[in-house]
Amino acid sequence: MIYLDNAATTMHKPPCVTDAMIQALTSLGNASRGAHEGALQSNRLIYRARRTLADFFGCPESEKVIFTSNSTEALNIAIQGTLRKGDHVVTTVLEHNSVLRPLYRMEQECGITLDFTPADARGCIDYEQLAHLIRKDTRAIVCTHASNLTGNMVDIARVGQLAKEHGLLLIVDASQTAGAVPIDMEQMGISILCFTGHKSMMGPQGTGGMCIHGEIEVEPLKEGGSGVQSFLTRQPREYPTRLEAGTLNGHGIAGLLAAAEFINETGIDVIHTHEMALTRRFYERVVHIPDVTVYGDFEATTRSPIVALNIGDLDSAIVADELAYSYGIATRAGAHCAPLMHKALGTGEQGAVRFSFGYFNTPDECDEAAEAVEQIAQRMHQ
Amino acid sequence: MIRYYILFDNYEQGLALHDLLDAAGVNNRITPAPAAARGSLCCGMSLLVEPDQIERARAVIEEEKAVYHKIVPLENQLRSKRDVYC
Repeated sequence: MIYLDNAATTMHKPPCVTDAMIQALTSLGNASRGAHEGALQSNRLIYRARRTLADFFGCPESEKVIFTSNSTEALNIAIQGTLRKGDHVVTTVLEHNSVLRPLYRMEQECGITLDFTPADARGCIDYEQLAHLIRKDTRAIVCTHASNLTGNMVDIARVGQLAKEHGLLLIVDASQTAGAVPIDMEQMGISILCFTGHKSMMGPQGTGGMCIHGEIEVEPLKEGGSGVQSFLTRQPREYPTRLEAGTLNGHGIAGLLAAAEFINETGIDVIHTHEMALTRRFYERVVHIPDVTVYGDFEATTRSPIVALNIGDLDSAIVADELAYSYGIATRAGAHCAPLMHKALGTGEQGAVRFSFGYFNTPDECDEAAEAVEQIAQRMHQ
Repeated sequence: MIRYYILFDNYEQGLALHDLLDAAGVNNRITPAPAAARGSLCCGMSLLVEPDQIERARAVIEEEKAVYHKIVPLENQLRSKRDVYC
């Protein structure tokens, strides 16, 4: 199989991730539960993971690196844990349902109000319009770092500056960018960064987290065992315990730590350059194929390694099925949990076929995929 | 040529029926749910069943009381590479 669905999850992981998880499965006790060697082994590993990820994302306080099971959980905590009745939120049409659904729920049940920054025909947001949407009662900007459909990136530093000028929280969904491009919360003005471990971070599924910058009160979504302050009737207020009720996924975090160390050793710039070269190589071949429509802004200096396209008016699901069934190429069709982005691009009905590249893909795989697209486009007329 | 897509509310329902059809020897294949068929079931999986197998599939569904959303006949938009070249 040629795996080109890395925006959903990276299937090929660095071997050190597998090794770390196997080691963890036979050596970890339960972190913060007891002081014997097994528990401490787990505590030390998780402590090291927090520090590594704090450095990785430019989060000044490692105790404010919170582990969750994925980016969606982190976004739910960030959104539901900070917003209150009467708050106004500015977001964008680029967002994934992991941002949209918690916001819609809060709009319907908790009395927040929403405004969406629109996108142009290439799927790029207008920063001036985003600024115009800010009101006196605006509390936060919730924004993706890159569209999971087009791969277009948002200039988070620019949005961060805007948030700073208006005293707003900036909650960033880095699902598509964590591990793919450098992120510095401090420099970019990010209040809460939500990331997943299993995509460009190349860690295991079931891992992710959020990094909190500065003195932000985030209320927990769940309460329960903490291993400390057991006679308190509520969840302890100290981070990270406040937001980490229940046993952590120590085995997964071991894999995530190994993955982050792999990225650090390899160099995130090296990884990004490789993925951009693959993306560009594929794009240059498919963009000239008759009947192929490519979505997104490919003039931008940097982007997420995604090429979304359609062939004529063929149903994207039919094309993805053909790619998988006849060519052994794994892609993702449909709406990609990004309904507003599809509506903005006019692909709500057809969906799109998303090719997303990862560090372990090769130029030959890009060429084979482009060849398959060309053949399918030609066969449309047979 | 018409093909039949069996749609589901989630993957669990689809995988359960896939197992039942396989066990009964009914040819079927997991495929992305086509936009034309799925409506609000966007992004889901479906089971693709050829016309000569659809009545057998319906019988298995009936007998096993399998849960599914609906069965949609659709014209094949694209002949597969295998059909063309083999």
